[in-house]
Amino acid sequence: MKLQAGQNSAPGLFADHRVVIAAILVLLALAFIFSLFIGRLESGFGLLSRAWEAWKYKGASGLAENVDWLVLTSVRLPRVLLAVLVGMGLSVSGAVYQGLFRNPLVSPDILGVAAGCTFGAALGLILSQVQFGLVRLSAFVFGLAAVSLALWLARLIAAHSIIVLVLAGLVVTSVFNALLMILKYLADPYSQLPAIVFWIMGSLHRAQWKDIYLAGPLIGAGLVLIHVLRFRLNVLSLGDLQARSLGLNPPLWRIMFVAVSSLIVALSVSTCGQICWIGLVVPHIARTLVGPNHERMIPVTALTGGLFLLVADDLARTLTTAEMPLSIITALAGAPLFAYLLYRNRGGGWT
Amino acid sequence: MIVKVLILLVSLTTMILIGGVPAALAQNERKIMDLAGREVVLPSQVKKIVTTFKPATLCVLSLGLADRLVGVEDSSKKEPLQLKVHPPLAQAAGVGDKSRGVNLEALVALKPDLVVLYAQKDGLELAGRLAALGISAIVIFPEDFPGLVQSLQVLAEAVGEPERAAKVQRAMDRLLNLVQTRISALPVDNRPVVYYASPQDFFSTASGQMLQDDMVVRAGGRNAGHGLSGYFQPVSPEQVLAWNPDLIAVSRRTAGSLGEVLNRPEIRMVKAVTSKRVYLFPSDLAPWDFPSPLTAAGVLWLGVRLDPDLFRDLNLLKEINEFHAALFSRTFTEMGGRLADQVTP
Amino acid sequence: MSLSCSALSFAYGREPVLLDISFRVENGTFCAILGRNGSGKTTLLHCLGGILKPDQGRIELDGLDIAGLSRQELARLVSLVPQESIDIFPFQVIDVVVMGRTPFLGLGQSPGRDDYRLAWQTLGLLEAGYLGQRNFNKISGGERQIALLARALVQSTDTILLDEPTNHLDFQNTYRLLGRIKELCRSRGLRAVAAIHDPNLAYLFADQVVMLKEGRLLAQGPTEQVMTAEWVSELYGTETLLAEVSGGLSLFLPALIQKSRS
Repeated sequence: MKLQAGQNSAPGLFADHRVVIAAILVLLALAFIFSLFIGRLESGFGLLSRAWEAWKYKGASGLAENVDWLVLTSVRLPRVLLAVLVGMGLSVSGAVYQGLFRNPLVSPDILGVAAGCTFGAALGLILSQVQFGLVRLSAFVFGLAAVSLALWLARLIAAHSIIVLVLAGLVVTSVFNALLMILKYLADPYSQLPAIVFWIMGSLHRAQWKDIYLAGPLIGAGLVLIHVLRFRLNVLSLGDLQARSLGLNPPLWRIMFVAVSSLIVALSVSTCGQICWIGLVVPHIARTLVGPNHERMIPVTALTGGLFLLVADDLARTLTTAEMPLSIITALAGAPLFAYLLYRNRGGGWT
Repeated sequence: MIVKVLILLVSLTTMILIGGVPAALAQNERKIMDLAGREVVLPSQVKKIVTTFKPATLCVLSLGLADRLVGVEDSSKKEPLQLKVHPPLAQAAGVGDKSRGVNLEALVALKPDLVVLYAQKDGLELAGRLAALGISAIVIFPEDFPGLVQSLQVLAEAVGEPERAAKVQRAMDRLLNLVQTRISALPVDNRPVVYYASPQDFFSTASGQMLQDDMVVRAGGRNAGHGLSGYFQPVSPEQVLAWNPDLIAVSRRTAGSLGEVLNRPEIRMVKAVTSKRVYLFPSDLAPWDFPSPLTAAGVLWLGVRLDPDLFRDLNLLKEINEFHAALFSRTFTEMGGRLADQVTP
Repeated sequence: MSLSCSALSFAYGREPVLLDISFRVENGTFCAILGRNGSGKTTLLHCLGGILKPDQGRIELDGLDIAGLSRQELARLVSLVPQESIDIFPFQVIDVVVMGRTPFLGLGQSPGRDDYRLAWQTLGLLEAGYLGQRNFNKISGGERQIALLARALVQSTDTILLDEPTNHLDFQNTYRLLGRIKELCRSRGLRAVAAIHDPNLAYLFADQVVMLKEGRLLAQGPTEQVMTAEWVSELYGTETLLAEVSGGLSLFLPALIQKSRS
């Protein structure tokens, strides 16, 4: 992360954003390690010592058979990694959308990605010809299709208007939600319907290494790309006229940012179901901490998002024996937090 | 003035007479209490029955009342067991169902003598509306064993033939006792742990309050998810590993994902998987882990799978065939049913 | 070395806005564009800045046809101070000013220490250093104009286009700003083209005046030649007097002011 040089102090809570980044990074690292040691199976050092014994006496194969090690590496590690990855992805996508649309109430589903993904998943769950492993692919494909449809529709109506883009997204979301309703209606109420509802709720409890291999590289690449180009978000937020006068081609940059963010969201939703509020709240938290300059705010958003979802998932899997849907926790934490931030930042000039 | 009084008297008398006639006729009707505590008035003859959710349909069929079904919930028009038992069901009227909503108009148009409803709020409301329209409606609750038995009794009473329910109950009790007598000697704490994979998802199981939990107990096992409460609950692979069940019973609907799930390194270590004791819940005709009299067959099957030695003297298929014959006048194999509970590796 | 525009025409769909406009602005010149509301001043500026593509005609910067330049290249040559600024994120003013360096940044680059230094210096030049850390949304309209002018200067272009730069400025700041622009033209050899609605300001500060009437060029040339009572009357469609004020200065006044005062 290239840290910003300059003689300017940030308008957020903290004068030096580097302090904030360092602090969150430390918290994230601690939470990461902590998360590996909590869970259903006996946790803590007992786990490590048993694994150590297994390795000592039977070498690598002993380790592979040791249940504790297996839980650590096959169940918890991928899950914790996925939580951080998806948390980062959804938050940064939310920040990008809020910047592109210059609207603090925007979340990553505004262009219909989540609605499309959910429809695709439901379709996969209903069609018996579709293998279970392909449900995710179906979700991903339809998520991207929804965004493409929104972009195409907007282009058809008024190529350069942001409002039209938002409206097109609204239309596409409504259409896919309606189609989803039809699927729910046609689904067998005793088996297919519960499976659909279950999928929608959003959870990381099925996380495995395969998810990381499939979604990780692309989400990571998307995040890096957005980070590298984050200054352009500042310029784009000035509006098309000024952005053009400063040498940018706003529609092109918008499409680029929308495409990358949508890819991230589609990958996240098709892997974990819908996780709400995180794309909306975390950018606000970041702005409160270090101000709205995307230079500083994007890295803080990413780190905070990763931490937020990690903690939420820890709660989801330890509060009760069963797994709570993640969205319950992110909503219960996110909504009041959002209200508080809006209140705190009132009069700041853009709410 | 006098004219007005006369008119009033005449109207009152007419009303009493008109009101009185149905009251007189009502002497021929019966009154029963349904499972929601409602007093239901029934016609002397019940020739046309409509059901609004699958368990109800299965109950009506097991009581041998198939030919009186004029309307069923939509899904039963396509289910294999229902069609094998009573092929004309495919042409019966579909009235919607519990989850999506029941079409009141379609229901009323059938002019049924009896409508069988579910014990949720809108079911109760519907019962009230039907009663106001003069259509007899009973509310049943077949979602657990005691409720199932009571539902069968109420249904049989409603058609005025209580011995039908007794017959089904005897058949169910026979199967349940076959298991009960054999497992009673086993200490409860030593019984094998069973993980039930629900229709929602492999990583979702039945809580202690659900029918499937009761089935596992009656079959001589312990439900891994017994400590949970509510409906089907999602659980993580870690939790399944922690429970380390001796046997895994998978609802047929979730079978599609089994291949992928059983390949996970952490699941491969589960006792039930290493000892190859993962089974699909029978049958390919109708699920035995679903609220209906067939759950008795499910208990027997599970009992046999849990401890085959205990049941060495028993011919599972024979018992299943006789059970189906008692309920549906046709054996399981006659209807083309197969257990199909093996998981292909 | 000049900015020249020849036979420029532009229409929004079927509606013609500009017709056959030609003029030339030399280095170090402050050119004012005068006209009534809706005469096409903003459109002309946007064409000059490459924001809009003219239907006909050529615009050349130092002999280069701007139609052949990429957006980024053009942004290094021409900057724009827009008429209005929408409410944006609550950026600090300094962050807005430093965005003027965008045309010089590579794809993955962000403004560096030198860029910020230049931004602070430019604000200081405009005696607006105090604005640097203020919230852009919360400063007055006039202060925003100054900040945007600073940004245009930071863009280090040879040509600055200004759209009604004194709209929100108070009495003395109006004169200050225009004086500053003129001085920058002289000292740095900049070409400034400003759409102005007050003929007196043009008269006082501009070296060259372009008069637009209903999208057509009414007159253009050095201020002394063009700014006469006749031309101004023609431009605004109302009889105008040129009144002498002390110190050898003159002001244009609409003739009807005499009537309303008598």
